[in-house]
Amino acid sequence: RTRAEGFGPEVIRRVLLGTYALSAGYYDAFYGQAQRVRTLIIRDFEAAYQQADVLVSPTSPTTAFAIGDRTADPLSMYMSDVCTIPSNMSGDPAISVPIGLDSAGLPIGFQVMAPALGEPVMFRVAAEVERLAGFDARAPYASSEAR
Amino acid sequence: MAYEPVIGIETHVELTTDSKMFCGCRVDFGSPPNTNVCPVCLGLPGALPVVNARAVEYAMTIGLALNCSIAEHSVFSRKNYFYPDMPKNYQISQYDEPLCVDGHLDVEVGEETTRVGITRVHMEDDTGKSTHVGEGGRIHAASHSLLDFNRAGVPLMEVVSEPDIRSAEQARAFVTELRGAILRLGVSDAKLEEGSMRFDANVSLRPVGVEQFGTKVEVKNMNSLRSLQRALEHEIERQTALLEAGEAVVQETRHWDEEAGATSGMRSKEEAFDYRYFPEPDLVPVAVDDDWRSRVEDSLPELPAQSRARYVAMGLEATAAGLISREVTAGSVFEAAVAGGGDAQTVANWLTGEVTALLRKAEVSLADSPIDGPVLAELSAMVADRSLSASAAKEVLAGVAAGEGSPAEVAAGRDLIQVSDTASLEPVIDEVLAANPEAVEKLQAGDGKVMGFLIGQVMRATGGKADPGVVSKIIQSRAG
Repeated sequence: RTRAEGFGPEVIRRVLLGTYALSAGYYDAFYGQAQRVRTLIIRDFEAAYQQADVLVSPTSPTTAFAIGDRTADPLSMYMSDVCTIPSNMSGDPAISVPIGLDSAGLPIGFQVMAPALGEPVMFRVAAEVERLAGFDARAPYASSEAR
Repeated sequence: MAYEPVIGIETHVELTTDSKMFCGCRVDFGSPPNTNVCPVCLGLPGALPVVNARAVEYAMTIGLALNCSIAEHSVFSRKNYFYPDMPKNYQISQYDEPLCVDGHLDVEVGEETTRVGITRVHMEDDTGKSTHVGEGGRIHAASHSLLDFNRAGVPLMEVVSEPDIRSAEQARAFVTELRGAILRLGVSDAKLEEGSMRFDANVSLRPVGVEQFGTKVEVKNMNSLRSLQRALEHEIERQTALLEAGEAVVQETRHWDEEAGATSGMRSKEEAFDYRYFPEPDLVPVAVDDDWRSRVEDSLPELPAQSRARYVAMGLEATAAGLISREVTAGSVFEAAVAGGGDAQTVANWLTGEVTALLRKAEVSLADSPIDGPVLAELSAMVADRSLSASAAKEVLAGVAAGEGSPAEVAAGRDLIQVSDTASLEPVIDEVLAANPEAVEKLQAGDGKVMGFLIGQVMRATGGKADPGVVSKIIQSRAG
């Protein structure tokens, strides 16, 4: 009975998906295929980094949404991850730099992605972005009043 | 209808590395429960495994000793299932790309040698230990179970044989040979009673001459070499009875009960459990280059089978060669004795007989005893030049073992030196012959038995120190 205790619904969902994808008869169609697609993603990034030192994007497509807004639709939840998943897939380094607040007072993140073992260039660019943004993420800010 | 048993053995060997397979916890079989644990071997969230290089090397050693090919690239895989003594809920094992494949081990039963194939040797980590508290110590009658995770994560090597074994006796010989080799390699203490070496057997029968395998039954819980043989004999009988009665053998796992002398069904395996193997994403594949492999190969010690062959070439007969080669110290003492001029068979007989008995009584190991190669060489020379009789030699051994000194010192000290020079014996013999004229007459008349009496008289007169062989010759020449 204790096997499922302590896990929220999303975790349970992912555990079950993983189990399904690995089970006999499905391994090649799901897990095996996914690994092959992952190799293609790695190669896509390798090609991109031939033309650029780093790749940048917002860390998340939207700023934070209220708790409970999207729990009914897991897919829309997953969409929040769409900018950060790629480097997870490729195994390349990435960093998120807070650069300011939106008009509602919610924080905005700037993502810098670099090629494999490219941490030095990633940190250099991130530091410059941080300097240019001039945003002190530690300072208390009036987000509750702005809302 | 005559049936032929087809047997394969799966052996698990716990390694005696300093630390566990995937973390730095100590490997120590005597520690209090749950004292050699950490987040990695307890499977706590976020813990990551790191491969123990020495364990890989030991695995390679076993593989090479079993004549396997070593994979240049091998992969760890997760074997997923739930059991309380396996905290990660998967075992990190090897699946489709194991470290060692395609080996063999030659097994002798009597005059016959069989080559048993070794399918693979792979690396995995052991589970914790469950103790079921209740009647019989088995889970069915238990009120609760206790878990000790000291063993969780200990490096475990799995050795899988081909189904080339054809009898219970051969199976026992196979496991004995395998265990001897592993002990010689020094990678495990292979104690069956402690569980550092465990085996399961797969047994099936097929009509003689038929190629197709019959239904196989897995037999577990054989905790000694003797119980392995008994369990397999029983299982072969059981399956034979079923087939002869026209019934089918059910594919299942059976538990051997040593006291009851029978196997009983544990669970029915209608379908094989789906372990959902996939490559362990937290570990990189193991790369073994030629350099590493040759270094390990060069450092392989001589295995028992090779020692046996060498000893037979030195003049020992097969059984003695087998006994001497079983233990490293005995082997090196034997070799030193022979190098020092000792007679191979004599030395071997002392080692396996008298010396073993003396050591056992004194509860001392050969390595810690004063008996060594030079001692046995000296003793052998004294027997060869007849200064000691065979029984006196045994007494000298006891004296040396007790710390009384070298063989020469003990022989002198205990007055055991045999008198064999004719000059000192002749007067004594003449006296005895003169004192026993009837016996002499009987001897001259052809009565052979009276020789024993006359020799006995000489022995009495010399305080037991006369060399009976020399005495006999002199009597013959004097009176015969």
